Amino acid sequence: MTLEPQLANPVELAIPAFIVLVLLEITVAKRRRKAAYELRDTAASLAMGLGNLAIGLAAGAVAYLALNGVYQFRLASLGYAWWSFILILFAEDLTYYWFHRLSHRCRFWWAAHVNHHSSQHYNLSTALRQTWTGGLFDWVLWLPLALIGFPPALIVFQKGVSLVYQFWIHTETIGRLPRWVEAVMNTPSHHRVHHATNPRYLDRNYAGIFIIWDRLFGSFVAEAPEDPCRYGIVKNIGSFNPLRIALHEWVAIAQDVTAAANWRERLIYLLGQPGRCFDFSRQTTDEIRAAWRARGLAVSAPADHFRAGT
Amino acid sequence: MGMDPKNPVSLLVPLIGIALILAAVWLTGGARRARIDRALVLARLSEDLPDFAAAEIVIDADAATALAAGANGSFALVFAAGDKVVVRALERRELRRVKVAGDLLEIDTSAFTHGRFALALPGAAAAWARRLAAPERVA
Ligand SMILES: [Zn+2]
Ligand SMILES: [Zn+2]
Repeated sequence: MTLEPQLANPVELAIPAFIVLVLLEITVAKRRRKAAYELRDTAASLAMGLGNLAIGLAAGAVAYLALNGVYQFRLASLGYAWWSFILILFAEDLTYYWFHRLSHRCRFWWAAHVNHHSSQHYNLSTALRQTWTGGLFDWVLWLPLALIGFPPALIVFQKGVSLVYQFWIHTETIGRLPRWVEAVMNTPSHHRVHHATNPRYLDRNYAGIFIIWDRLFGSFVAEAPEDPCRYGIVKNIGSFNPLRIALHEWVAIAQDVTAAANWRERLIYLLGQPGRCFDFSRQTTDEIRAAWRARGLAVSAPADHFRAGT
Repeated sequence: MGMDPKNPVSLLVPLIGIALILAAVWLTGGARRARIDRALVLARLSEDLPDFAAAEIVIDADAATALAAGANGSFALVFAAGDKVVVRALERRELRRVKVAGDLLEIDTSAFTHGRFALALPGAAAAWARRLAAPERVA
């Protein structure tokens, strides 16, 4: 049962397609007179992607060793049968969902993930704006898959498939897809919501490949035509320097922890919800949404698209 | 996951891709900057800082940065980053230094992402510097 060397690296295989599709989107956007791409923003996203690939060479090796270590204690041997590929598709996607949700709700994880959200643009190059620091530790959340009995090479392969799948959904050139697709799959529309800072959209649609997890765990919200997505983060960074993009939240955590009054505050600054503070200087996404709802209720009828968490 | 470090071609593909993409963005007019005006400042403030009630707004001569004063002595910066516009509540504890050099108002903050601002405000730089340095009024 050693099919491992034959499992290709989906990301490496997809790179030429990434390039062609980005070039195509630039052309389509130009035809439609849409300002989809800006030079420095694109350069920053591509630099983040390249850095992520380079760091992935080293961090990936550590992750692979760890997966193999845990795999020695596996509860079952699932191997490479065809149904293993089906099982890992769902098991990895569920793992990704919770990894992604944690990455938005716990500041330590957010510090690594925020890079991906720091562009105020939303195009295929945004998909390549990947973390530089997450690869150092985020693989721990995939270890249970090895413990269950999925071969490490299969887990790594499926992680690659997920990354490749998530590339094409970073676009505004595709509107809504047929109902059944939007019901089951993560789509450009669902992921636009995920990248938007409009209060109704904050911290929603964590899906990787299947949107079903968001529907199941109450984090789904549909894109509302009357509330066009504004992309970026709550406090946009205004920088195109890859090092600042990669490290800014880590620096902010260090600044907060240094200035904190006691250990409870230090812990909350490190592991609490992003935006949590003790001087009213910023808000969490929950607080932003609550304030937005209160304003909406004060001004007019409640927003009927707000169905998150229900 | 990643590329095979022993295979130089695998590194070459993304590098050539990056060059092609940046050239395409450049050729399609991608090198541009937002020009800030009063309406844009107000619109972006209402989106990002809905509780900030701007009492006064000054826009620098390059239309790249605006400084807004709130009703209770608070301030916000609105600035162009490429073709997008960034809003920043100017926290007093973040304020490191305010300097006037001729018509130029320089604001240094401790923000790691984008910390330094220079606004060309002919005839108004010194007055705005004084306002920034004034003690905060409690609302
Ligand atoms: Zn995310
Ligand atoms: Zn994304």
